[in-house]
Amino acid sequence: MSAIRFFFYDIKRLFYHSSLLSLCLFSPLIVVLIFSLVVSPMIFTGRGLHFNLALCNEDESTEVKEFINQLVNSQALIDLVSVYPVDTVEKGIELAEKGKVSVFVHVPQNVFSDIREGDDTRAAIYGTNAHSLEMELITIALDSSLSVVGKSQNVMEAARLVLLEKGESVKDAEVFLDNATGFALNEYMGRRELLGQSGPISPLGEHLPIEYYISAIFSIFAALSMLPLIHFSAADSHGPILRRGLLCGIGAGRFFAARIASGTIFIFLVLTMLFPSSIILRLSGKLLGGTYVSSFAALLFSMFLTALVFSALALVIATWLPGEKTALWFGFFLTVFMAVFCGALIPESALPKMAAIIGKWLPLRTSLRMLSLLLFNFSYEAFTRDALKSLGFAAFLLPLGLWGLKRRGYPT
Amino acid sequence: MEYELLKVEAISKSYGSFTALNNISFSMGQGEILGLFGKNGSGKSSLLNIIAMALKPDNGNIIFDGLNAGQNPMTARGKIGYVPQEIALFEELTVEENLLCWSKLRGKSAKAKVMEISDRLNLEEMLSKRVCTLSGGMKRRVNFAVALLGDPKLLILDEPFVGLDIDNTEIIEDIMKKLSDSGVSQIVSGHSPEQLIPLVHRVMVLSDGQIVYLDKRDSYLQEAGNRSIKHFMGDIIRGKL
Repeated sequence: MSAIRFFFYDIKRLFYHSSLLSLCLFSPLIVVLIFSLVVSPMIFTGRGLHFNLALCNEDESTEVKEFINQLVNSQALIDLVSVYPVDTVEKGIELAEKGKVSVFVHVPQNVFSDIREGDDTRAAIYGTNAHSLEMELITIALDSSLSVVGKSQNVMEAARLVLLEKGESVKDAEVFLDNATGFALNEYMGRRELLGQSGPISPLGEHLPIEYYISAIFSIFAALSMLPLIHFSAADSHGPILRRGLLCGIGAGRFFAARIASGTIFIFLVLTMLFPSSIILRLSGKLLGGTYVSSFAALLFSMFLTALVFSALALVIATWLPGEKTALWFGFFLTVFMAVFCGALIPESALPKMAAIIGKWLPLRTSLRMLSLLLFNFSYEAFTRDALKSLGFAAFLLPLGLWGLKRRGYPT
Repeated sequence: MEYELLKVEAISKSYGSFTALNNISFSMGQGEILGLFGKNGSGKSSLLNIIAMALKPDNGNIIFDGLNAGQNPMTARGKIGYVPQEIALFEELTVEENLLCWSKLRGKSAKAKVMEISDRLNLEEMLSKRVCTLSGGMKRRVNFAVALLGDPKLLILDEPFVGLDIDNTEIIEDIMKKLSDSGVSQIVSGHSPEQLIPLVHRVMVLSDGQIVYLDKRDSYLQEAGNRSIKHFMGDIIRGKL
């Protein structure tokens, strides 16, 4: 029995179901494409997420003027938003329609006094479909800002009344109110610096880079690619195939090696769509002055490591769980569990502390970190740490899988 | 019995508190066909798996072709062909690919062996067909063919006639007879004594993990007397004898 022949046929079996193969290979690409239809305008601004925003302010209040002034000149937001004041609504809409700005924001008259009086107040936001995500983010940000400003204003007003009751002059109370408002606005606008987090705002409102989601999509699909491997391996190891293999000279070791190799190739192929993504992002970075730093060789190695770890995990699940269906369901729920606990679906900061700690010890987290860093912000130290962690997972899972297969092949 | 090919010595096997096999001993000669009977759960599959070196016994020894099989499993496995009850084939591959995949030989000799086995089992026309497109009976023939690839000295057949039509049954029965004539020993299990008894040289019946009957086919038929083969087997299994 030739080991190479057995490996070749194992590959052929795995790739026989063309629909399954297509699904595994192209699903991440489809998700990325849909995602990029929304986020690509931001990616191609060169530094991740950057807004060009036209703003027409018709509110004459000092507070709103101060707010706009802060927005236009803020150093904390300089890498995130460029604000272009316009005189008329028509001009702003024209800029948005011509694509010269992503979004046009119209602040109507008396916004601030309406806020003070507790009326429902909204700024109007215009934009084209190509910039729907920016519009959504601006809406979230403005609603959040106006809500905070409104609440703060009520507190300030209460403080002004307290001062008047205590005998302070109306003028002093007004000066206090203006100063306190200015201070509050400064602090609010500068909160991004206080948070100490650079990087664009994600659709979920967290300071997570968009790049993170591209890595998350590929990592999740790499983990999902375990399912066909679990199906084949569980069917083979629980059924008569493995027993027949033993009698035909295909021992558990050879069977294991062939399946790990074919599984690694299969998952690696799912991840290959990362290459065009990497090239496009690197080119866009060079053209538009972006800061993406990637390493092609390290990316290749990481993809191999990720594929190897998930392939080994698939065999562990297939050989240690009783029955094919149980193994498949376990594999599916483990993938969902990993996606949640590793911060691929929900930002890590939104997870309970214990969940985030557990997530750090799951292979999906390491894979996600490695790919994210390699595509966009390569650093040798971070890569080495995650690569070693992945090697650790492989060193643990590979013998466990082989042990499981030996138990199935020649049970005691 | 000219040559004692297989000697099973005091084999026992338990799964937790359930005793599947209890102190099983028997031997087989070269070219002999042994029919193995018993109701579901009597220990037939466990015994076949232990002899096929796919399951470790708790106690006892298997002496195969003069060697202790437990101490030389690879050597023993190389001389044993196994036809499992289930279809142990790769559905996604063609018949030829399956035969090549399971062949212990390499290169041209593997291909030549595949052609020889295909010829013996009339598989030539289906060599290029994928297993998933074959009928149940055809799959069983291919399943049987795989076991012959290594020129085994002992062939273990776990219910080989399940789901077979008359044509396929006759082909396999014919092959079994020819193999026996050429010196290949066979252990065949089943639930249909009428079908198997005419094929076998000796009859063994298991019940609750123990041998309750082991004798030559002629003795079995003589003891059955006026009773049908099936009813006589039922009486043995139910302990009425």
